[in-house]
Amino acid sequence: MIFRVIIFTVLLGTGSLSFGQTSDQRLITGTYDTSLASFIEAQQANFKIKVFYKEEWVEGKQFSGTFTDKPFVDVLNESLTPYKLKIFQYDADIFVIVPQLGFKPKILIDKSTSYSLNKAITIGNTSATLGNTATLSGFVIDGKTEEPIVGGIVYALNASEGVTTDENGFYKIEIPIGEQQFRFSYVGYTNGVALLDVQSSGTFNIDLYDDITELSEVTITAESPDENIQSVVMGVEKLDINTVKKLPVLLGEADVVKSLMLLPGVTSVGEGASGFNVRGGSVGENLILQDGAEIFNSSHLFGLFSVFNPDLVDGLTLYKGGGIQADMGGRLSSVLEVDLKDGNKEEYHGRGGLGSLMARFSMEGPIVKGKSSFAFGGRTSYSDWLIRQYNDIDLQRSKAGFSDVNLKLTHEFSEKDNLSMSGYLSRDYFQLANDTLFTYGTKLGNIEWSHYFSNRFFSSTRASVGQYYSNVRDENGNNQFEMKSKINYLSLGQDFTHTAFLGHEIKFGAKVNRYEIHQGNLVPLSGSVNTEEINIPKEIGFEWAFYAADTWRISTKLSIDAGLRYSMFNNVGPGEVFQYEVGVPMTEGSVNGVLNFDEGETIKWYGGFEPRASMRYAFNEKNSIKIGYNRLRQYMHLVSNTAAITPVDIWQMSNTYIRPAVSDQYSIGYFRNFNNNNIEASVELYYKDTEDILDYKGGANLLVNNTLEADLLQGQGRAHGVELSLKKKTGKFTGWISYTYSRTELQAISPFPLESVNNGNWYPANFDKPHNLSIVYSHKLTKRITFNANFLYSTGRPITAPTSVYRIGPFRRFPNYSERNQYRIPDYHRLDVSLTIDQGFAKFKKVKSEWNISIYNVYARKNAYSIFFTRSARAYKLAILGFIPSISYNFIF
Amino acid sequence: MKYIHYLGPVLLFLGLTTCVDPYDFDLQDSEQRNFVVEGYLSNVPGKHEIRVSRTTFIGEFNGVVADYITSAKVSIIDDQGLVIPLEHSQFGVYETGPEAVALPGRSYKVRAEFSGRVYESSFEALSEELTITNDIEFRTGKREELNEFNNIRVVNGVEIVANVQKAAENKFYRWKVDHYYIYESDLGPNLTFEEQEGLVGEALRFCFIKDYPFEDLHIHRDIASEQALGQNYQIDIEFIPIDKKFEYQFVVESTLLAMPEEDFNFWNNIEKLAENTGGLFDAAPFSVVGNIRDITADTEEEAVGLGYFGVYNAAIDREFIDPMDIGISGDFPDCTIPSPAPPRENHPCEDCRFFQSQINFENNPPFWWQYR
Repeated sequence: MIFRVIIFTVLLGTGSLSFGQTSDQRLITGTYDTSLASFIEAQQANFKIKVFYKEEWVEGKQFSGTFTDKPFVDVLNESLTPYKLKIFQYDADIFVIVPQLGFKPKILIDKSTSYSLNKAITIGNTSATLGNTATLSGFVIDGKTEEPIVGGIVYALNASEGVTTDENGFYKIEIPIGEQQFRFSYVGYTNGVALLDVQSSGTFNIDLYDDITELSEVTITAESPDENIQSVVMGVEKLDINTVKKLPVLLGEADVVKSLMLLPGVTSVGEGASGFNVRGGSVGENLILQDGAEIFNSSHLFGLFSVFNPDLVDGLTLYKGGGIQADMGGRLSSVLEVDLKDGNKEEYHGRGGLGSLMARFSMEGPIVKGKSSFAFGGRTSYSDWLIRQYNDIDLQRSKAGFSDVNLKLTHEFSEKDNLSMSGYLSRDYFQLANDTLFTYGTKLGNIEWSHYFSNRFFSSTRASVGQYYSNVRDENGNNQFEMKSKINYLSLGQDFTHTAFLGHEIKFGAKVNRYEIHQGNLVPLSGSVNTEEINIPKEIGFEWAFYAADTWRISTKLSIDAGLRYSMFNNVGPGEVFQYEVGVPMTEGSVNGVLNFDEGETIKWYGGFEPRASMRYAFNEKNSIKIGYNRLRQYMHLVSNTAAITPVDIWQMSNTYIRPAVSDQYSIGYFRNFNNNNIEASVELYYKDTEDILDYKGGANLLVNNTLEADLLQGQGRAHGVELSLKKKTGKFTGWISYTYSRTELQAISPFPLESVNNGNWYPANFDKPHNLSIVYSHKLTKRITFNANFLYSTGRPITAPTSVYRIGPFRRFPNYSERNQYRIPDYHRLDVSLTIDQGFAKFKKVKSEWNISIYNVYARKNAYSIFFTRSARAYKLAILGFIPSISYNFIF
Repeated sequence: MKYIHYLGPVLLFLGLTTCVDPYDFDLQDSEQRNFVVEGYLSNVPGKHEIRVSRTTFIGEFNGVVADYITSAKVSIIDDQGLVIPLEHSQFGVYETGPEAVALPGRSYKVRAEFSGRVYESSFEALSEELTITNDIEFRTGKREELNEFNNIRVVNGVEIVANVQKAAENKFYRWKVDHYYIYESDLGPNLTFEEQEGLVGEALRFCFIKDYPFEDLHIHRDIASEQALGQNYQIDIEFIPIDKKFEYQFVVESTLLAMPEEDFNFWNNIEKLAENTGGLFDAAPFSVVGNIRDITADTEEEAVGLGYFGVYNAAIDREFIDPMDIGISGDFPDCTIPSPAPPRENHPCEDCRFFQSQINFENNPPFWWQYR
């Protein structure tokens, strides 16, 4: 640290960088295989220069390679990059090696994250020039935490070319030879800008700093300025965790999943509902990945909070429908990738917070300094005490809560090999009035090995294991029972990225998931006298996928992203398949035989191609048009007949009777930026057709049902929509407005008319809410105080309502319901505000603290949580989340 | 499952603030009134009832007379063509003669004709098991409730339970429960039970009232168990808070109906719908299809009627509850009756006939009444 200070002091005293001698005058030729220290020492003597560095940085590190007239700085930078070091020329004969992460360009040029734009930094040399283009590569790193910035944007302004950084913060971009300005950006971070004179292929690394650390302006942006115009694929939404944390929150807790609702095309069925709906898809049509491992229930406390600990999340990316490329699949509507952050490899840090209902704490730091790290965190709720404050007999005897823990380990074996491992455990419980207790939770483990074959060929190998379980136990009455269900998950994946061909980024790989579903064993307890034991045989299925995709930059205006995925699903034994009587509705009573399958024997096989294609045509730097098409297949189905999914909802794999659902989505969008990319506007239209979408018959019994297929129907869905978005990304006032008009309808027809839903007519899905408007506003009042506000409006969700009553017996009324989803609950709108007060931004403070004061539903709108019906079928509107103020305290050290 | 309904209340406490307001849907013009036929014929000889009505739109029924159909032609027909005619009594209730009975080996269907439409059930057979046992018991119990100040209070009452014996195969039961009691108008004429016998159109001191408790569906599936064959167990039927109705004698009359699984499933679905509150975690409501069809309809979808006609083995059991049985002694406070006109002050009961309504009282007890 002292060393860094000395260097920075020297540099600041100098005021600016000067280059008395260009690096191409010191060329390296020959084959080397020696220690790095020896090489540097030899070149000091050879070129009569002085290289400053700390011996411990290069100790034990090797230098090897064959070079022909390659500049000394480039040669050394290539060798130093894997060690997270870099060299720069300080004076004519003085060079300095610094850690990449410790090199803070903002300090060099005084309060800016940018390099000087008056003088270009030379990359490569003219003698190494091949053709008209060159490859620029390097790392984009969080300068404070020293973590790679994943999904950061590297954009060459003149060439109108942009790429994103991978999970290691690494980027590679093909650009024309010559001098041009580059912008390095990531949401929530101050942009880095550099003028580079690219003479041949070379490297350039940069650190970015988040706005809080740098006490600069708060920036809430979902995309970089140019990404909106230049990216080929539509429907990809990125949210930085800092953006999420600044949003007004319910009960003091930042929520990763709920922040998605502010994005165009993303809705939920209601307040407190678990999961989210994307472009006309049900909750079960979203693939949710935490560090690549699949999560089957993304909610705690039935949807009030998400399972993601915001202190450990690095960022999230939502791929909506058409944005799902060939390397992803398995669900029809979206893929949500939540990346957990790597632990700090240099220093120990901790975070924590106290809210109205939960506390959280996390730690991170090095295991082997500079090599490996850990990040650990946990949350626990303390909601029981709150329940007992209520004068309700049942609630006073109830308890509900959750806890979860995350652990992530990373290790850098060499410059080419990185390993990361993460684990997650969660447990929710709910017991009402000493009655039924049910618990549910998730167990996840993930390991990923990243390997660079070369700087043009990258590999990622991943293995994940997981389980979602749901248990119900009732120890009262004659029907005491315990019901256990779970889904076990095992996944192996191999991805390759190849960029050797000019203008092409080729990806290919394969993945296999093994699912084992235990839909439930219902076992009588010892005190039971009237419980029927039900054991549903487990189901096993393998989902395979192979893909290849190419992002091809045909010209500066035209780019294509095309891919082909082949997926298949094999439902294997052991298993039993019921045979049903032909010509009558499938019921338990119409079973007339059973087919038995041995272990590993194929019961049913499905497969098919899934083409994906996107094209972007950029009219100029400020506007572009994009079109896309993709086909998706889903073999795992979430079976639910409630408006919001519940923890006990089951997953059903495709089998003899349940076909995979297949969707085709077509999308087109126009993107336009204004005011030097500060204002970003877009309009996207989509149309989606889905076949064999899973539906259920009226009165279906979905739990511990041996003949579940007899209660299900498979129909079709159709969805269309238009998404309008307007964002202001920088300045004191930032935010966005998004409006979505969308419709989602389903049709389920049975050969037996009385089983068809709504007589076989199209009907609106539970989540069909045509109008959705969200406004997000952020105002930096002072350097320490930020005001944020959200406004949301949406059409009320569809509901099946009693339209009449009839009587059985002298007085008893029974409801007679409308057709499914024929009516709607009232429209929804609310305004939330928050004030974030940072108290400890001064860098000398060891503990930085932050207060978040939020008001949820400022004008106390009585939004309908649900419309419920009394026994006489009288309808009442229940509003549960009224005016809710909350305060939370967060600290970082 | 039932517990899923509790997810909503959990959110209530988490939300801190809740609000409930009446809500009216704008009903669509396409809604049709539907025809409802409901009743059963049992193997216990006696007067059987079939109820015929039409659905009543939400919003109409509060204060509006239900849409009973009083001019239908209703009959029960067996599989040999024998017709049991029913006559309308009141409020859409059609009654057989006093000795109607379902015979073993026969199948029966109900037929209701009205305004050119003919509704029929499918043929339903009486199961072979003719003798079933209905055995209910009562015991005192307590239940906690919230008072108007949201504080917990303990309510004393009478718990009614049914004894069920484990069978070798699954059984499906429904209990139909009625209450009878004697009610005294404390300021009424000074007549004894015997003296008021036969009086018509005069104020009464004692009324034998057939109460209409809120008709919860009491259904139960007895799951067969070889290990527990013949074992007895109890299931809760109802809880009756103790009040002035228990001053003299209170009778719980239960009619046990043993039914096929298909019939049970109908009632089970009806009960599920009745419990459905329309919340986020409630299963989607649906139309419960019974065995009533409009045989004059053009399509299968249009033919669906509401209600159910069943043919059951039945057994009746009554529990006579005296104050001493439940530890009550002394008089209850004098009864009061709200004044129908302003000022709406309560005034003492001078005629027990006005206590509840003028349709459910008798001067004298039913024939089976047992004084103690």
